[in-house]
Amino acid sequence: MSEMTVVGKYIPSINALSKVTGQNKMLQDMKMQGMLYGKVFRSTQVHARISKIDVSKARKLPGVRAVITAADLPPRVYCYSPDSVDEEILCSKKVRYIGDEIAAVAADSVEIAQEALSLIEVEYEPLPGTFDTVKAMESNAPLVHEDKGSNIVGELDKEFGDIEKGFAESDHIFEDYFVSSRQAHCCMETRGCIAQYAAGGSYTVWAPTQGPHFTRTQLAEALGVDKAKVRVIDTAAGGAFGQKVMMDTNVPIAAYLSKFTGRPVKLVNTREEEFFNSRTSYEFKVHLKTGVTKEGKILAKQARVILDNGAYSDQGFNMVRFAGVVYSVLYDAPNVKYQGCLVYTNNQPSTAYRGFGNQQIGFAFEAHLDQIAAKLGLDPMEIRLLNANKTGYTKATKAFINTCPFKECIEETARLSGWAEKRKLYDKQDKNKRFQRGIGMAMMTHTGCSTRNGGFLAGEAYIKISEDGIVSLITPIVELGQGGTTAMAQIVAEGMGVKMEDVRIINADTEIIPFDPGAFGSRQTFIDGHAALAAARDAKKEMLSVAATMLDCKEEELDAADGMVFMKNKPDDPKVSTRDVAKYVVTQKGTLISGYGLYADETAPEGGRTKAFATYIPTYAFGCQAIEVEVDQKTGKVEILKITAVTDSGRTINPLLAEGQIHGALAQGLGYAYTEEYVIDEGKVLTDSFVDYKVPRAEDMPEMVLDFIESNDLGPYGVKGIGESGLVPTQAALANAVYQATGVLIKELPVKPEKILKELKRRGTC
Amino acid sequence: MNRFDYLKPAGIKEACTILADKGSKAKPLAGGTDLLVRWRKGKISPEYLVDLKGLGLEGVSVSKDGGISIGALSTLNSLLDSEYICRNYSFLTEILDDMGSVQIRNRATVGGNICNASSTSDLAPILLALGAKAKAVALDGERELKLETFFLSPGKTVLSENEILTDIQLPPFSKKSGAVYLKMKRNAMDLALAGVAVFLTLQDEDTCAAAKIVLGAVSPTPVIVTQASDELVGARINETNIEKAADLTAKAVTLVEKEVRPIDNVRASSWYRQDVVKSLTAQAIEIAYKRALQSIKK
Amino acid sequence: MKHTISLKVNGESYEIDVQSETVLLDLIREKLDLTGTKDGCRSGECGACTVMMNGVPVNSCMVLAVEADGSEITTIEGLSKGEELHPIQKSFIEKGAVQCGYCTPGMILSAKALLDRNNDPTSEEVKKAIRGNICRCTGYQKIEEAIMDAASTMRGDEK
Repeated sequence: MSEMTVVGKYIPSINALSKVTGQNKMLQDMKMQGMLYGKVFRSTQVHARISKIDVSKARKLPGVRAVITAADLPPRVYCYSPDSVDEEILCSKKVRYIGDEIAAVAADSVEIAQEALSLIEVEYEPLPGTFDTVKAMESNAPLVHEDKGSNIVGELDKEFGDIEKGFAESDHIFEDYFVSSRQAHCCMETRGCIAQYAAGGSYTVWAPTQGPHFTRTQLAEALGVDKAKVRVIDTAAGGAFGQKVMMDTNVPIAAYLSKFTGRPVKLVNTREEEFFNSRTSYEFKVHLKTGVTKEGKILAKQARVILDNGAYSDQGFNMVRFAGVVYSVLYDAPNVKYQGCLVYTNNQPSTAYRGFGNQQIGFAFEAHLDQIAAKLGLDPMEIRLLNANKTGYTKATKAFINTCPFKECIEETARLSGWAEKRKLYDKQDKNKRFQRGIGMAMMTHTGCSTRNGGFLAGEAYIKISEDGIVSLITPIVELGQGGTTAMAQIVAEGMGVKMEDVRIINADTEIIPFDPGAFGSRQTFIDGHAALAAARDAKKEMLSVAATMLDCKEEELDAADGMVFMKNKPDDPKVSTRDVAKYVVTQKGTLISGYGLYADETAPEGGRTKAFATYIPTYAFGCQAIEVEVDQKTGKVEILKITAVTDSGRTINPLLAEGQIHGALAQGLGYAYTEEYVIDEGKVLTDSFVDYKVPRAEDMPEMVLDFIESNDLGPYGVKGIGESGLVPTQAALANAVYQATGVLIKELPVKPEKILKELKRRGTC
Repeated sequence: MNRFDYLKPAGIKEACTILADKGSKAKPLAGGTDLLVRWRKGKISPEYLVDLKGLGLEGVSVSKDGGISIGALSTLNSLLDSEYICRNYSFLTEILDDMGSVQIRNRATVGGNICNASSTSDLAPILLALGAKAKAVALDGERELKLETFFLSPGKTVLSENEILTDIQLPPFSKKSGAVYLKMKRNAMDLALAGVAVFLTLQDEDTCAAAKIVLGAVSPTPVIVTQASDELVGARINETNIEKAADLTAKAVTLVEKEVRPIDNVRASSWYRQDVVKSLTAQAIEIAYKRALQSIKK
Repeated sequence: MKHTISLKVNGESYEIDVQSETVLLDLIREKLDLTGTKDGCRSGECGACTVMMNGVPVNSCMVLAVEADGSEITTIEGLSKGEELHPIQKSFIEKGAVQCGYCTPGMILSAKALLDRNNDPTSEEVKKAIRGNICRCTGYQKIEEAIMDAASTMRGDEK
């Protein structure tokens, strides 16, 4: 590949200017003519029958334009996932968690809407609730959904090779149990939307979403209307991190409020609602059993995971599968068994979180693996290298690993973190001292571009070129701040040879953009990047053909870069600008040029139909992290000294933004590992503010050392997705570091000082 | 969230009159950083907020003996800017600098912090350790009271509804003294899970003439652990019996605990608070001792 | 109850009616339509609503509008001089300190408050100055780099 002018360069985000000046308009900043403000009346009960709803007083309050309850809506149960239809827009008979939607108000102001809520009277007949997934699976547990007959939403049972034979052949068998708790996304912008109903039965929704087309599909499903009647316009989100993959439950409520009032209705969560109602990541309970040879080679590995679905279904079943896949693939063992179970409780529903279950199961296995290494007297790095993946098909699951920088990731992490020396140094430290240091490591594999789930893994892009040479890419890329639009502009600029500042991105509106599920699974730079690159090359071909006419030469002799067309054999002697070519097309040839690009994974339809397991990931990405800590054995307090993160990016399109992705993921990963404890007591969320839910502040972040391994994979310019992977190994790396420092392994996240101290006391270490 | 009316008196007397007039319907408003949060959560429903800012209750004045009087409405950041405090009460600067955020400190006031009577107050323990006094005013006149008698329970002080805290007075800080406040928190911006203030004065280089240990966040109001403090007096403090002092403190905590409700919530268990406060105390005594030594040497 | 207040926002004078309960944040966003100031938590914890009030940063969710009577307010919209960006804004763009942008206005104003007082801060001072501003996207690293870079520009260091 010849040298690139835009791809691989540190280029600031194309949206940053409007954000630093305060001109950027997010959902919360939008007002419309005649707009009303919505508020939702939510259940205060964890589980109860609704015996009475009286909204008459609320309806009489001046300024209130509509109050709706289930009685006003056509009866309908919907779900994000067709496998488990279980949710109503407003509860008709029963509430299933604190926060469940019962009624909604549209009023002239937020204050009036809020006041109206206080006038709504609801009487409940409380029912016993179920909160712990293991208890919820027992036969006498209260049923969250009676019609389902059980609290088990779904199960998955996969075996590859012969697990019992594998254990029989093993020299040692290790069993362990971990709990990966919930994590709140804490997007700085709380969820919200504006819905506008129009005569003829159509709905337009403005909302920050990770997938405008997904929201459109889900809203149509929730309302029971033809999808063609729904238009969704994405407003660039103030953080998403998986929370906005699925439609906000406020959206259909706002849609109905708009239908009943004929006016646009804005519905925005308070921060408190955000904590107890806008969904969190899934809690995982993880049982592990691993058989190894005396040298440390894994012969058999078995996991049984139980996920807390919460009261309504969301992405749980997809997550059960995905977590199983990454667990099965990370270390190539000949015999693998994986059982996953998704269970209803009367807790807040769970949803996707950046990493999609990988961090939950990864924490368990990577901490478990360090325990095995310790028992066998192996260095944690050694046992990982011994079981490292290679390019090609995995033994048990037959997943195809296209590029596999497993070894490079570990070795680079070791080099940058000073692994060997530190490990030795800390092994020898005086164990009687109050402050003990440790360094821990963890590895991960993640998808490099989403999955073939559902049989669809494709993207499309269009390029139009105006007479002044401005190139507009019509793309489904979703801008969440991660820089998706900037990456697309770079790919187009590079692929077409135009200037970066001449590229515009048109996205966000389902009436304009091609169909696409959205920004999740680290997929968009890969898939939509491919489509954008194909469109760019298509447009470039047309452009060079015109330039050939202008310059009186052959198209094959020409190339373009950074806005100039030149002869391939004389790259330093530009002949004509791409802007002039565009002008020539219109003014001299009387026509227009454009580009079209499609990327479609050919094996996706088959993978989707057969519900394949590990083969449903088209390419795997790897990553390794090391964390160095100092533990105060008097208080259990952990000072995180340094974190090293090496990420397999395939190719880094934009190091500035890629680093930002990893830095940010590390902050979330460290938060999850150490301070972010999401406490639910019998269904009640006790950590419903930033006072009690501790997300990292600047002072909490350690020195971060990053590197990227460019494995040159299947994506455009070789890219693999990196949006999620940065937080996957973090929890185990921290737990393992604390283990080296103190001999204490905390098996339930977060690894907080109180737990460490309790364990130290129990052992009489301090 | 109820509705309220905002009242802005022109002087202290008018403020007192309003407060006397409105009784429990009114709440004095200082920085508002705590009050507005509680109002939004529906924990308080005042009908009137009486703004005490701009009544001349801001600022630090130095008394003849070298002590200071801090106006109750002084913001935390304004105290950070006080050179006199920085020079003579540097431990106070250190505490203020680690309280909340810059934005909060630009609004939050010393008086507000004290009058909230929050168990997690970072200022109360150190002010108690120093033997601070509070000055309050009402329509029927002024009174001066020891801070020791000020706190009744979380959110409750000895001040009546129509009384206004005007000043916090600190005695001069002796050249032979050392003071420190240490706290345990979960991350950079957090309320104290446990806090301890230690103030001690040396006679000679290693004999403790006076000591006061005050614990925060381990009981509903800050606790002066007299027993443990007294143990330090007369003791020759060195590396070895610092541990002993901490044990005495821990004992005292256990005694205190029987009479009051221990704090056990999502931030930390009472077990953890109790345990951690012991090591904090040991550490704080050590630091206070070293500081006292240093100041003698100067 | 209604109060008539007068204040200056980004150099413009306003005389405006507010209710007792109205907070400065809502005055700025809803009445003046200056939506650069963001609404993040309404409890003084996240800093998204940070504005400068009489030269110092405050959480505008924690100030009653009526308390701002007679004050001078600077919001993010008032930071640049016409087309010319403030050095902090420039550095935030160039150093990749902006992701979703929700914390950005508050973060920039906290940085400004620091650099106005101390144009040669240490890394610790920078971290401390933005303690009251949560960023969930960047892990703060690039924000710190941007603030250091802006400080250097403001000092007039040669680059």
